[in-house]
Amino acid sequence: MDDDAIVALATPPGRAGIAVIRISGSRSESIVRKIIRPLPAKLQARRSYHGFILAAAQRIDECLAVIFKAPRSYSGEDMAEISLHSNLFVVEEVIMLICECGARPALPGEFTYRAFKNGKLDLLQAEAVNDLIQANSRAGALMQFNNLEGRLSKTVASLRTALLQAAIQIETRIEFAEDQLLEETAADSDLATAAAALGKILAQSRFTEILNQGLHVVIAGRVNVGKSSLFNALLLKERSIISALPGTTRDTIQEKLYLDGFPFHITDMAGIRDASGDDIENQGMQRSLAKIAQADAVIFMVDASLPLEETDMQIYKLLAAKKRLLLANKSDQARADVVKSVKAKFPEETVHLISAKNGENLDAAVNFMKNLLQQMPEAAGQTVVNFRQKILLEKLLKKIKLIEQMQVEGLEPTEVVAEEIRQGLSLIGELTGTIGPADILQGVFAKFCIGK
Amino acid sequence: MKIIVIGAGHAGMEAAFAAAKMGAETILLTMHLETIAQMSCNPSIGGIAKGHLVKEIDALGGIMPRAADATGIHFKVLNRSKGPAVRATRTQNDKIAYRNFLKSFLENVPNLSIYQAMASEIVVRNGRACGVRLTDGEVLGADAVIVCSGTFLAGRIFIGNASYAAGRANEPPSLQLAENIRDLGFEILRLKTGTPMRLHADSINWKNFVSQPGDEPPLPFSMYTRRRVKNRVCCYLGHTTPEVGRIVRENLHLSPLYSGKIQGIGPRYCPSIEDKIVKFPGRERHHFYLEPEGLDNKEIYVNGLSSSLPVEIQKKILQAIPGLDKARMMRPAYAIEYDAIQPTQLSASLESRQIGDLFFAGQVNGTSGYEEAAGQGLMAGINAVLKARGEAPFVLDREQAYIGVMVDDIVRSGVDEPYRLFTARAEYRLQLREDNVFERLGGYALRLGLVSRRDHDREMRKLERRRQLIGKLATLKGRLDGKTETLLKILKRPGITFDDLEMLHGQPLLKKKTLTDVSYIEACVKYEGYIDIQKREVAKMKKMQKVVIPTDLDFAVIEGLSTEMKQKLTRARPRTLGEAARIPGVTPAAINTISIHLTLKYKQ
Repeated sequence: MDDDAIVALATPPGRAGIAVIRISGSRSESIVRKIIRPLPAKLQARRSYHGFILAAAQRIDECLAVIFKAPRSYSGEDMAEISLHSNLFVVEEVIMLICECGARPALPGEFTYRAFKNGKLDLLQAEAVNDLIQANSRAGALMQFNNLEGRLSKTVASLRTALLQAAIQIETRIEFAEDQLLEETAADSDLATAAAALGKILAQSRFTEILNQGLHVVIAGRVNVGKSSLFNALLLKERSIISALPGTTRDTIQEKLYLDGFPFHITDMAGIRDASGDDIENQGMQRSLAKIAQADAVIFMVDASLPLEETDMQIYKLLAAKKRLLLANKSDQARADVVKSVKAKFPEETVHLISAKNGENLDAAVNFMKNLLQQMPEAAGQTVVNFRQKILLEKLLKKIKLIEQMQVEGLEPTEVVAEEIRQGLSLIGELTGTIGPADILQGVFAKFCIGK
Repeated sequence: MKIIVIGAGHAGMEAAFAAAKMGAETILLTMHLETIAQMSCNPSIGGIAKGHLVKEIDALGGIMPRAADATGIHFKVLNRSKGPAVRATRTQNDKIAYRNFLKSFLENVPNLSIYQAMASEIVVRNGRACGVRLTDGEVLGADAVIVCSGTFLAGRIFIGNASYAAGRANEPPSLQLAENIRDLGFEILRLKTGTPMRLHADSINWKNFVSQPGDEPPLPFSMYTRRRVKNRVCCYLGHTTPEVGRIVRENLHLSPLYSGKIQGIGPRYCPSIEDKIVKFPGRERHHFYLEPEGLDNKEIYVNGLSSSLPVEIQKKILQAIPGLDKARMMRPAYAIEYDAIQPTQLSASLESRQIGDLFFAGQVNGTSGYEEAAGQGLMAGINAVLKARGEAPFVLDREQAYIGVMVDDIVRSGVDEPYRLFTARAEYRLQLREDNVFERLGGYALRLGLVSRRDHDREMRKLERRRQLIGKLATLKGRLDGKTETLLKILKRPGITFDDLEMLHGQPLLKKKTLTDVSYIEACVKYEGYIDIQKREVAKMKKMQKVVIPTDLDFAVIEGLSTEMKQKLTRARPRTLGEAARIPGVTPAAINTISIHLTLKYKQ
């Protein structure tokens, strides 16, 4: 009954030509069909099919897919292998997609374990298996959870305590409350606080954000400096409404751009100008300011053909804490005195003179963004483990929210809430080791005065 | 085929009855015919998890539930509001009636002889038990021997500084047999338990206590009980005073538990009053229950005041409690220390791993409680017969019965304090309900010859009626909160009961419905999702169970296992990957590492 589909990156994580993602389980083919288009109606085993991986109807990478039919596969089950470009972020996005289709990240060594169970292992050289064990031990060590960022591991520890506490409370109520007339009630378990902390971490975590959204870059500047032109030049397509009238872009427009296979969300925002009586445009500006606050980096544009204005300075002030790039646009019409004053007014910045319209010196912007990527914490090495943990943590968060809801509504009988808590504990157990009835009973006896 | 059962307590009686019912010529040895089926501690059967056990014993044709119903004087279903799975039956019983009922019941069982004698030795030949030697020298031959010695093996009673050898108050211990079992090479545990004082009913000022009546209408344990059961007494609730705490603290040095005289380990869930006061110094008062021991019997059991303090201190404690200040003690509280075998020396059929045809059941296996004893006795009795017939043992899985959970727990993990069953010990709690015992176990009982075809078929018809109704719910429609849905879907909604459903339907859906009917239907419908998940887990576990870990495997040499994992695994010595996975603290990654290691080892 290993109907569980499992997925893992089969090649070493890191930059390389291609990466291979492996799926094992009877649902392998249907998962491949869900995420890769186009594929013929009937797939033959052990043949390569070319296609594109789709995320929310967008192609995110080109790939080759091979399916294997049980028992003629590595694990002895139905399997699929997807070869794609080896960029960690894309790889992880694909693994995430596969998990959304119902697979779960494999435990270290799980493919081999299944191969072993299905009697496939004699096909392997003993040496190859040995290597796997080596890899497995390292991953196993990682799984002890010490390697995770301290904050997260602390949160999981407090979540574990809170969940155990909730279990102790509810199990005490089941085993003794009525029989023994327990008067004392344990302090409320801090499920809510622990869950909130985990939720915050999961939501804020760069890791999560990179996986889900990529990096956010905002193009900011005064009205009519040519933001939309840059935006379009970068995207190489006509998405914004470009016009010479100031304030044409009334709202923010966002587009996804892949650089080195990594997703960037470029936002072209409403121009900012002072003293506008235009309400609609003001709304757009409010959104612009909010976007700047949320962005990972900002491309700040000034007009090299017109003198700097007070608005330029005001916008620049908003960017003080941001990673930023200063572009002086309209190099074709640039005035020497303006360029000089830009350099003087923004002494901290390197001024890049570009022309968005003519595509001149656009590399300044591209290199800036690629550089952002380099500065991201390297997620390699731990990726697969962290990924597994992340999935578990998200499940756990969902479970805890359900438990809280049940406790608030009070409609479900105690034993159902207890069952949900158990499922939560077993999720925690997958991260930190099993929590058995003995642990709970120990807590019951330590906290309550029970007995005849 | 001959089977000898040593001891006629709650384990021994079930063992002997099951063996005799299955056709074995059975001898039930007791040291004293008058104390067959003695309730050594409280006058009560069942309770949470224990009630579940009794219902399972009932489905397997055992006698405890029938005796509990026949002699019950107070009936209660606990945890009514907490859901069908943790709902549990409990009775208060007339102790003397209980004894008399079972003695005369057993006297009328074909194939069963009750014999008053003390066993001194298990006769072992070629590594197999083949009989029992009695203290008078007589030797009885047998195909299997079942030891159900309770607290009698090298039992020693403690009251304050006084201590004397005894199996129960004023009953001799079994010393020779205890010695014999040690000599046979069994690892022995020294455990401890206690019982509170009994007071004269007329010396208690009942106005000081809150009455705890039974349920109306009272519900019996057994599906075979035809007679209507009745509540005849009330229990009463009371509290100790801060003065009691002071008395206990001042005299703690007189308690053998705290002076170090008692070495045995007592149960945490059943602490003495000394334990409670030491462990919870912040509490000013502790509650206790007054439970009548019978109808024609003035003894009142003080549930909650077990103690091993000297009698004069026990009296002082009583004087410090309003309503008991003039109480006359009829029997003092005492603690008892006894030999148990470490149950990891048994296989899942409760047969000794080292000596064939020798079975152990009950308190001698380190458990506590009448119900736990009875459940094991039943299994040992069945398995002794199956063994003698050369058939495969009857072992219940953890997802099938609390009996399975208990036996698996003790033989796999062993005990370090007297083991009591809790519903929390069952992974598949939502499936192990009182309302579905017949569905879970009825078929086995019929096949083993423990219940008649007629009884089985009658219960089967009741079960079919419930199942049919569930099927019918999918075809009937109702309108609730502006939505028309099938009654099945409506019943799945949180907070909707079967009663609500009948109200909505406008007429009864099931005629003459019982609590069992309602519980069963609600659980099956509402818990379908949970039970499906659990069934998948079980299937997965079963698959993993099959991967055997060789007994000579050295966990210490497995690469990739942390030191902590290695220690845990070495200590627990799991026999399969499934067992390893259930050891607390062992991670799924560790399980995979072991399995890969095993593969490598096999291949080399």
